[in-house]
Amino acid sequence: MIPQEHTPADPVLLARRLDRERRARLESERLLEAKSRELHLANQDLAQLNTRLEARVAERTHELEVARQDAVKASAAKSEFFAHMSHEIRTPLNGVIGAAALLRNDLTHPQHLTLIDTVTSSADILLALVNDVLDFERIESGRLEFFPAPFDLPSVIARCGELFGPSARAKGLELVLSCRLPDSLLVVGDTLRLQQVLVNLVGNAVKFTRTGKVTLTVEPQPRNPGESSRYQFSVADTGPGLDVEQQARLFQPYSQAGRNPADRKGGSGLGLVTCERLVTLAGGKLELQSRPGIGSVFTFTLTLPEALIVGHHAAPSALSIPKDVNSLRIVIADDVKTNVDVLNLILCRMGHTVTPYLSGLEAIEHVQTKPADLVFLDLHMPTVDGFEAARRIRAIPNVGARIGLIAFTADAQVETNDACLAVGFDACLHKPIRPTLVKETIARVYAKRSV
Amino acid sequence: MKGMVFTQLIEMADTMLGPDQVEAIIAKADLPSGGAYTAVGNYPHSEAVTLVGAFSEASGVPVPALLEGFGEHMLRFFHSNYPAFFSTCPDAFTFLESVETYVHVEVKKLYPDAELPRFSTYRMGPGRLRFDYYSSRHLENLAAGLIKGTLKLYNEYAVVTHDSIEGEHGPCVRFLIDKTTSSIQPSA
Repeated sequence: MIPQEHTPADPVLLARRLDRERRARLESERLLEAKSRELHLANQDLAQLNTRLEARVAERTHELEVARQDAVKASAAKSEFFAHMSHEIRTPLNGVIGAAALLRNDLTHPQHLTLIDTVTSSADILLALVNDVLDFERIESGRLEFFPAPFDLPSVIARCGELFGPSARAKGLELVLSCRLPDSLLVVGDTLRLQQVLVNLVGNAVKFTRTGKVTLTVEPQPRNPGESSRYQFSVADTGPGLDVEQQARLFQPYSQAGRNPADRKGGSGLGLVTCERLVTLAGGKLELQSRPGIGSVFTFTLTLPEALIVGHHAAPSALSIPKDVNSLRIVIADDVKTNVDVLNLILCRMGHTVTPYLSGLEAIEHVQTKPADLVFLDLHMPTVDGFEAARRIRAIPNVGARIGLIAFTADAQVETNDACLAVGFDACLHKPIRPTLVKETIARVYAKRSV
Repeated sequence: MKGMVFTQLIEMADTMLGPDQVEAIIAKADLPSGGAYTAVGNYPHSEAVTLVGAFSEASGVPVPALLEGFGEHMLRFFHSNYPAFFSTCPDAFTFLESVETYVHVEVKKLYPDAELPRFSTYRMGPGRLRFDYYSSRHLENLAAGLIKGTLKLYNEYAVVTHDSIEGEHGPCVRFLIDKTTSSIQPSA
């Protein structure tokens, strides 16, 4: 509708204007139609583009998923390989360490004693290397788990002193334990991992310090009511110290690999990295203060809630270990003869009567027909493995429940402990088997089963 | 040239000369399009020149003044039909600056084939704006009308001068807009 002010009065002009307007309308309708078609086509293009994009996203997602699965598979294969190799290396090491320990008792010549000590310490270093690599691999692949349990914190510190006191004294160093805690203090945490970190830090400090002292300090941290207890651990030395560049490299894995061979101090170079990762995983932060020529201080703080003691189920402490037991009737089963021989010798020297077997089946048959107080079972044996043997022994009426069952394995996984307890083992010893640990374990297991 | 220019030119002419005379002028002009303009179409620039000349002759208003008046008419038309372009601009300078950077960008989105003049602005001080107009069509009087229409819309006063110069992007007409506090009417 044309407004009045735009309407010519002359009929001829009016007709012209109307005709002009009509043509303009037709033209605008044509343009509108063209524009609509253009929009429709653009929409179709967009829809196609969208479909193509979705297809490409799906394709890429699939490729990523395949790549991820490949990576996971590769990682799992690598982990399996590591675990397998660790087992393979530990088995002969077990033989070396055990045999050396036994041989040492028979040696008197000072030169022979020095040689056998070299064998033992070399085997220990090799074992530590295997453990370092294995631990680090487990941390990096996210498979490391913590197993919190009540433990006596002051004894962990004391153990560090016992472990490094001799080597520190031999170097003329003073090893100071500054433990501002009560004589006995039960806290909840992964004692194995805490000990690993402390052993690493104190061990390094002793290794690198030439004169002066190494101080391990534990201090409870102030806390508000209702908060869990926290402890600060620090290891200070008067060693060579580290410059800024060395400090930056310290928590980098494999940093030792690139160093000048003359600067290397032995070890995998993973110890500190592992410590740093372990402390982080436990909710702390490993910090370093160091000055060249003055020394270094490693510090970390951990939350270790106090353990609640209920009834008689208090955590085991040094005091709860029963006195030595001997003259027990012990059965051993391991398919590796060296292992059988070493353990046999260790047990015989402790005064026990030992019957060794090379298969789980024979051990079961022995228990079914003859009296036995304890059975040592290797976990990995052909036909009937340690787990199956344990299950069958526990199922023997009247006898099964009274026998002490001790697993021994070259597996490094801490998870193995749980699997052992689940099938009825009383304890699990990790190879290499050390006489003192064997003695302690036998005493504890025997006390438990004979109650 | 966008059909909107033609439809608005005719609408302004209707008011100036009356529809009878406008229709007679269009008939006489013998335009290729026949004068059947739609706002969304595109038509030859020459038809606009013909119409402006004819309206000037019929009204006795010289072409420059007619174009300037058309510029002010267009500004009012834009304001009533596209208020969104103005709502975000608090004053005349801000709006004039936004024509190139915002209004023309939006126009190009709707009409990719639209041939638009190019404006380049520069604040020379708190009350002075340099406004360069680049176009092969030489419709600087229309641009002056748009500037003055903008000042009126924002109820601002300024002295507007212009000069043909060699600008940053070639020959252009440079407008210098100096704000005044008094009501001195803008002069070309």
